[in-house]
Amino acid sequence: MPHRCARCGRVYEDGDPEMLKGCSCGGKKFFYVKGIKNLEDVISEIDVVDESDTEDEGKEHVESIKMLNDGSYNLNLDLLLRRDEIIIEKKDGSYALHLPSFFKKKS
Amino acid sequence: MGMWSSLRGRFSLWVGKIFGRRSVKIGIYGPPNVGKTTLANRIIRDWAGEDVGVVSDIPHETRRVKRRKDVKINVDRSSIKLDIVDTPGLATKIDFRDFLSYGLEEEEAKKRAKEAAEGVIESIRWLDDLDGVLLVMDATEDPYTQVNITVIGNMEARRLPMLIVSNKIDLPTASPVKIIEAFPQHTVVPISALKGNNMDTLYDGIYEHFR
Repeated sequence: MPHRCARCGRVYEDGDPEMLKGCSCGGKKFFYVKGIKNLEDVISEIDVVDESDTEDEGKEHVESIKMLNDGSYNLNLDLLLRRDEIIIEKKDGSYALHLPSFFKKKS
Repeated sequence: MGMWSSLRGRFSLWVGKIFGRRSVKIGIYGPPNVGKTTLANRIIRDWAGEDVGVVSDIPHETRRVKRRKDVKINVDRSSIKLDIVDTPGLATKIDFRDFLSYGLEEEEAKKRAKEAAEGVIESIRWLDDLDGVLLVMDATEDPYTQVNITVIGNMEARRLPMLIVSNKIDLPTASPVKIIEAFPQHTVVPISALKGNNMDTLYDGIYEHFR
């Protein structure tokens, strides 16, 4: 079980010689730590909520394409299939209307 | 749009049937990486001896619609002439970061994402000019996806003849039954476009649905 220095928080594995000599910060008191995880493991376990999926709840969608970032797009397939007109929501929240699609001759 | 283009399509099909010379325009649709281009290549190779497009494991390989005219398919003693329209994959979200794991550079991945988004719109535009749709699904994946459900609902509203193709049945995890159970109102044909399994059943289905 790893040990953490009570003074600086540095973690030492069980049996580490530093435990006998004392911590590099000069601290000589250590306490047991249960289940220390790597920072990468902790980060990987955090559920990242995609803001693009939640921020528009309850909002009426008029945009057929939403630009989230450079190279990332949300496509509203239902609107694209039902309507000829293409409305693009840019990442700054402004809208662009694709005029040729609005004036497309109905067959 | 839906009712008129449907009537026009049916009239045009009927005229073609009477005079027996018009090709039936069939679009191959579905999400990315379900094997649409593999299927288009299989059909065209079987009956015209050539390929229509490049196949790869990276999603959104096909980003422009590709069309091969006058592919004549013989079924029993009859035949049907098809225009095969291979379309880019339909998706609700396209993120360049998904392509980075395939070894693409960031700029290349962003360009691919942009072209893929344009490809979705081009695919949808083509629906107005088609006589029928082959909707391809991956038999190893859950069929209850937003793309599948949205596309099927819209095809039904357009009254566009549609055949569901359950592809990749050569893979051990394939479960075409799931697709059959998910969409019982439609004909589902399980195939492997890659291996050529059950293609005769698909050709029979194409003839029955789209002639």
